[in-house]
Amino acid sequence: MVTLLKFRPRQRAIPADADSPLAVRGLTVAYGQEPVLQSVDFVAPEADLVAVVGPNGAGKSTFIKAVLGLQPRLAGEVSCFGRPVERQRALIGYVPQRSSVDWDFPASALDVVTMGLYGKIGWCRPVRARHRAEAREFLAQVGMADFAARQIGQLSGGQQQRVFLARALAQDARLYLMDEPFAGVDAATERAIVDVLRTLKSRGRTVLCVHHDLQTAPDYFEHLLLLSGRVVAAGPMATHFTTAALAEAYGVGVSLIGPAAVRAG
Amino acid sequence: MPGTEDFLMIDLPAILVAVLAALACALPGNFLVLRRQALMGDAMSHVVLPGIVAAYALTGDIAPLPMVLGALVAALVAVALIGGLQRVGGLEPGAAMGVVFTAMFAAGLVWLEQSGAGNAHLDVEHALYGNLEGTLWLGPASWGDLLRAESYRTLPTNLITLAGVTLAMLLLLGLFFKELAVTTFDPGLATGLGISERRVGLGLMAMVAVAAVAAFEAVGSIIVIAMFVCPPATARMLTDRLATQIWLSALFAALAGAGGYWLAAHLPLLLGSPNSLNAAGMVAVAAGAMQCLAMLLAPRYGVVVRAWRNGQGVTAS
Repeated sequence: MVTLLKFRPRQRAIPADADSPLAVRGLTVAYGQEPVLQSVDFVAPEADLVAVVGPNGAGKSTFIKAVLGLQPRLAGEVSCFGRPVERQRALIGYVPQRSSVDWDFPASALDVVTMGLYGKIGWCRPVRARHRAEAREFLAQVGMADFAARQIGQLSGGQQQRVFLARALAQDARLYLMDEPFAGVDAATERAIVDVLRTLKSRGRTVLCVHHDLQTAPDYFEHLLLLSGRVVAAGPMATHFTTAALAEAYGVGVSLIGPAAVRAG
Repeated sequence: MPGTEDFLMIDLPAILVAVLAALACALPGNFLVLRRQALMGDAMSHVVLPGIVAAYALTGDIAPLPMVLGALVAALVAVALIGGLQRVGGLEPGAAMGVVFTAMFAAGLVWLEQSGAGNAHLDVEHALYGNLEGTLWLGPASWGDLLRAESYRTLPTNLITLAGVTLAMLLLLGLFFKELAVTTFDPGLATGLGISERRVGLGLMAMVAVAAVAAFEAVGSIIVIAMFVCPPATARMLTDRLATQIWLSALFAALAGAGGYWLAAHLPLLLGSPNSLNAAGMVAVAAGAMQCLAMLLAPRYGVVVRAWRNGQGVTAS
């Protein structure tokens, strides 16, 4: 018995999608007895912008949180660049919903962006002037250079979202998971977010974005993950964003899907 | 000069102890307040009592090290119990803390009555408001003696302990400033950066427990509770920068410590009463008074300023 154990291979055979930025297999999540996501399989393509779309309660945010391990998984495996996601947290940038943090915290916009660099700076080492200069550049990239010294609670919702994005840029992750960055933002912020997404893509980064607006989804994203408690459709936007798939996810007769489906068709 | 000798022997050590106790608690208290865990300071200052009594029962002595260890163990037990009650019992955090710290404090009081009541340094009265007035430095008789090394051999032990603990708090806050800030503001991001929210949170609880036991021994639980919360909350009204808030809280803690002691000694005399007030109580009152003043007069968040600004806004439009 002992000798047998000795020769057991340490790892299982590596599947073909092993090097994908994100590979999810059989992910099941439940709140108490209520299943929210059932056996979700999804492989994210490299250097692509992925929209995670679905009706309210479809489990979009739950999917993001379960991938990160912030929400316990009932079953399933999540790997990031071929290794368990728990060991790859340094490669993942997470942009949470705006409501998830305390905006009364005594920090300026620049302080929050600088936090994105803390992993790079390392434990017990002080933040130096060059780190702050770097953070200032990321703020400038989202058009927030003039608000660097402003306490975060004194910013508008859209400006707060841009601070979060600048912080994600500062983190310099390879895979980004964003929970509804477009929710309730002004037009200027929406443009800034789209610019950031395109920049990230051009640098070879993969972005998964929970997205609510079916009208803009085909314009902003190339890849689709359509959820409704399970995977309804997953694949390139051009071929998978169809009237039939949306009707299946949202139920028939939802007026919202009209124009979007026409455009997709 | 008898006045000088009294000051050096009685007032100076008591003021130093009050100031250091206030500093040791106010420094980690900043993060308790920002984490909305102000009640945790209250909880810690109470649960150290059974820890101290247990240490006393085991060693038969009130040496600082066993007491700190006993209090730390009690604090860890309390943190585990509070977490357990939330998970198993489904209690909300405030209720879980309330149940645990009152029960443990009461158990400590009962045990104290049974075991250590005869010891002058450990009784119920001192557990509540300490023994600030009883802190004596039997060394220097004049100002010149402060320059002589042998004066410092008789420094009260709790003064030395508190100085060490305050210094440790300053060092730890300096070293882990980033980690404490990011885990407090956004635990999700912290985890992504490889900074474990759990570990930093436990570290903060350990700091709070050490500060609580060091201050508790000297000044009782009333000051401890007030100092964890009041100076940081006062400082928060006056600034939007975390580092500035911490320095301001230290300033207010020192002011409350020294000012409270002075008020306790001199306020009744000024009012024509021969008695003096309880010093620990006055320190807490001074801290509370500063908080009230800041709430009224703070430049951005003060009630008065906001009301005035609203009035301006109405006339302008």
